[in-house]
Amino acid sequence: MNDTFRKGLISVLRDQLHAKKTVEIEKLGSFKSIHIKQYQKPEPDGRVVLMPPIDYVLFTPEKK
Amino acid sequence: MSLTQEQLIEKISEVSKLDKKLVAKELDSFVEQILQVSKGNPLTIEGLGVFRLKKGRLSLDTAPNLALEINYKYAGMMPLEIKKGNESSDNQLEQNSEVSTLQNDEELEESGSKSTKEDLGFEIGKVNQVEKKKEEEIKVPKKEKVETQIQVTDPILVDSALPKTEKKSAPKIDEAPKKVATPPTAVKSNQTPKIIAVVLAILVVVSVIVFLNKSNKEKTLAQKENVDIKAKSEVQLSFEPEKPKVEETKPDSATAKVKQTQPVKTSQPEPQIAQTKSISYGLSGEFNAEIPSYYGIVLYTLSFEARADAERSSWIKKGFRAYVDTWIITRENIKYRVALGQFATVEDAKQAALTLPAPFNEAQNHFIKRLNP
Repeated sequence: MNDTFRKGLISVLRDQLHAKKTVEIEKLGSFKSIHIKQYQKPEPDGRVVLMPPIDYVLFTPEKK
Repeated sequence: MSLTQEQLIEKISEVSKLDKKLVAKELDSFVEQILQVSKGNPLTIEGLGVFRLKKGRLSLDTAPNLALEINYKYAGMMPLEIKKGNESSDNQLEQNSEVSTLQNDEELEESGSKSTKEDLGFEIGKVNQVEKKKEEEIKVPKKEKVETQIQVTDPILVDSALPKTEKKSAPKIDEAPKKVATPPTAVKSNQTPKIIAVVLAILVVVSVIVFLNKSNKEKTLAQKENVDIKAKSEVQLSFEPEKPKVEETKPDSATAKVKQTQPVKTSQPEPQIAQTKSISYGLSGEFNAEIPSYYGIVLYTLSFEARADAERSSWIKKGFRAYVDTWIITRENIKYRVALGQFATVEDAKQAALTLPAPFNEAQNHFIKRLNP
């Protein structure tokens, strides 16, 4: 794979995900940025933990 | 909002300054490489992540740098413990955890993702796997501990619990600690006399403190009165020589004889008292108890009789007809008024009050009161 292409692809992907846009690639799937709000998570030992919010990259493969 | 493949190719060509056709070829080869990923051969793309097959499905483990760039707002935030744990509330926690997972799913739907739980197998999958492992680790030793306790305390429960499956036995195991936890109540019943004794001791201490506070307040009141009296008497002493001059201007009264003796008063107060014994009314002389009713100039109202007597004697020494009038408000609340002079009318008393040394001659520092012995 061309290194210039790889860098360009990652750069575009990052910018689009920052802008909350989904990037679709034919035959492969889509990349999107997902946000999860903070939430309270009860642990088995009785503790309640406040989980921080998170943004992450979700890759969904294309259905055949 | 999505970016199509054509738009993507344009963008990449703009960024990398490559020809669009070349970019399109590179993109095709990129897709082919990824699609060739098999179970044992994950494909790592530097800066993007690792593509691998999970449960027959292609997934991406995002590269740490890219994940950090996407999650830059919340980077470094750690889970925060907001409630400490209770061992006895395992059932509730299990229910709560179910509710919380439902809530999480709802939140995901709200955030606009159409993905199901299975789709979240990249980032969240890691966390969930780790959490499940932790839960399993924590649950297993608990069960063992509880079972050992049951063997010691209640063999019947063990017999009933053993043949059942793990899932069904779990709630019964949760019930067991409650039965084991009964001995502390017996201990509590033994502690009740101690608690009562402690409460009584606290009550005694509080009552003593209240009593001490009351006595301290009385002392402070007495001290305040002392200070006031001293201040007033000091002021009075400084103005003492003015007294005869004012009395000379006095036009009224039953004090014609007093006027004749005035020059003597200024230098020798004691002879003046002797001379004024015969006078029934007046500001100076001895107190005449035979007068049934009269007006007096009240200077002080004090709470302590001894203090009032001391004040009276000091005014007598200065040549005034001073006396103490007792004012009974209630049985426990008695005040002592230090008054000067005995007058037939209010006007006489007012005129005489003007002759008092400052600041007592001011209307705000005395009052005229009809007094009955």
